[in-house]
Amino acid sequence: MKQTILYSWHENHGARLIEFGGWLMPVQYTGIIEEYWTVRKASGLFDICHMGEITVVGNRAEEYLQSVMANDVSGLGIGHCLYSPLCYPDGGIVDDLIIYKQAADRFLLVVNASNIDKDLQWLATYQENFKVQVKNISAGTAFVSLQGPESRKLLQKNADIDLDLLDYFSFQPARLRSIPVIISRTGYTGELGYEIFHFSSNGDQSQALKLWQDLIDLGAAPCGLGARDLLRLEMKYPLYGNDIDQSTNPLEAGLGWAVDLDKKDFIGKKALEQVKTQGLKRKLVGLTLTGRQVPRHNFLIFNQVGREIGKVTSGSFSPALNAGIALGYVDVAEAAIGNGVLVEIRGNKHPGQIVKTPFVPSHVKD
Amino acid sequence: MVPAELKYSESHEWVKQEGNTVIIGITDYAQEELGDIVFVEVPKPGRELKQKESFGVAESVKAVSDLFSPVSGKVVAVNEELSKTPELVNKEPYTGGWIIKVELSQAGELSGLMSAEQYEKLIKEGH
Repeated sequence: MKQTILYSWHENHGARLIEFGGWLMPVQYTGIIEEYWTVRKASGLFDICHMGEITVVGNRAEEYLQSVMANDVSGLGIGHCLYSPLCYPDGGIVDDLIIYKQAADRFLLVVNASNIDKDLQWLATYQENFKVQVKNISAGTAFVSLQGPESRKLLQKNADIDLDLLDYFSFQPARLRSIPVIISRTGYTGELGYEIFHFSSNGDQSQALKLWQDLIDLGAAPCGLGARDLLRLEMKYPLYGNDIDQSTNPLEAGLGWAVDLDKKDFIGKKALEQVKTQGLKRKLVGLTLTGRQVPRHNFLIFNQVGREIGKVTSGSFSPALNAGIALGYVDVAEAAIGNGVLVEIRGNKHPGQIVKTPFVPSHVKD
Repeated sequence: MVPAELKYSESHEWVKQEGNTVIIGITDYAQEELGDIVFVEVPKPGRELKQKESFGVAESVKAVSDLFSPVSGKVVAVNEELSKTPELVNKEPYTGGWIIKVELSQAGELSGLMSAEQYEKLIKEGH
């Protein structure tokens, strides 16, 4: 199992470690709910070095990405980033990723840890005509995420750029106490937050450890993947492998805002146009349970007369709502907000309701 | 933290004897392994339990775990506090976080449970 550069730090600071996407990662330090509240109310620091980084370089890099990505890359300015699904020809999802435009001929893709090899293969299939270089730079990249309402104030103490000028989904090269980084105003929590890249060309990643420790010393609390999963679930941010995968399309997943059906062509466009014309069969919705039971992956969802209408894809307990919450695909005819549903948990059907998402207000633009 | 006066099961429940009834909860080790507990499902008073029968579940943020009765007998009380504050099981596993009270039908079963010393050995071996 792979370990990030921060692995020893986690071990020495009481982290409980679990396997995630082929990596041994901290799931919690002090407790999932405590870490969750730290991010909602103060600031938490996540090791996300397991995520993949891929560079796409060449004169026709933009044209190339425009032809493979579902979202519109042409409108993206240098220093800005864009969320996009990457689809199969049948509209299924290869991965969901963020595209960073570093220069007119240079892009950085941040992809899910478990999908790096698959993405590279998939991107390679289409790159030849465009003469672009696609390179996996994950091994030499450290990546951490500082999230929470106090993250700006805290990060500013170490940063040599004015963070007030960094808008949501934009990024800038900077130094954190002399360590060269890229600071990106992005995250997976629904809070104000920053993701920080450090690239080491010579394999020396001691700087990454230092930048992590510096942020901890300023008062950021280390947080694990357990809190991260709760935070993203309350925002209805999909998790690849749970809520989206090869068998789901971006339209039914509620990612239509990141699919540009008006652009000339991209992989999966025809299939997605057809989906749109025919109308969705099912939809990813958010639901809350009346009680404190926890709905989990693959639990069945029924309508109020007991007909099976779908399945939970992600579920947990929302500390903010003090109730079980879930994402799941349900038949489109049953997907209206306010509809009562039943979720089968250990043989009993528990009442709940389809609700508006995100489950809690987003603060990403604060 | 393994109180010396209690008896323990291999499935990490503790038993405190009070005459012919026992109080049952889960150990500090068990709550630590489960993490933040957000829901405890308890049986209705009056239910007859056999030894090692599942009498409920504890749900944490990340997992769900069956609770097994270390003894046979009738459930005479459940900890009502847990319906609103299940985190008591994390905070006070041996006191405020008790789960059920059972009237023993096979008092002899108690002697088959582990002592604190034996249980401590079990968790040190990582079970």
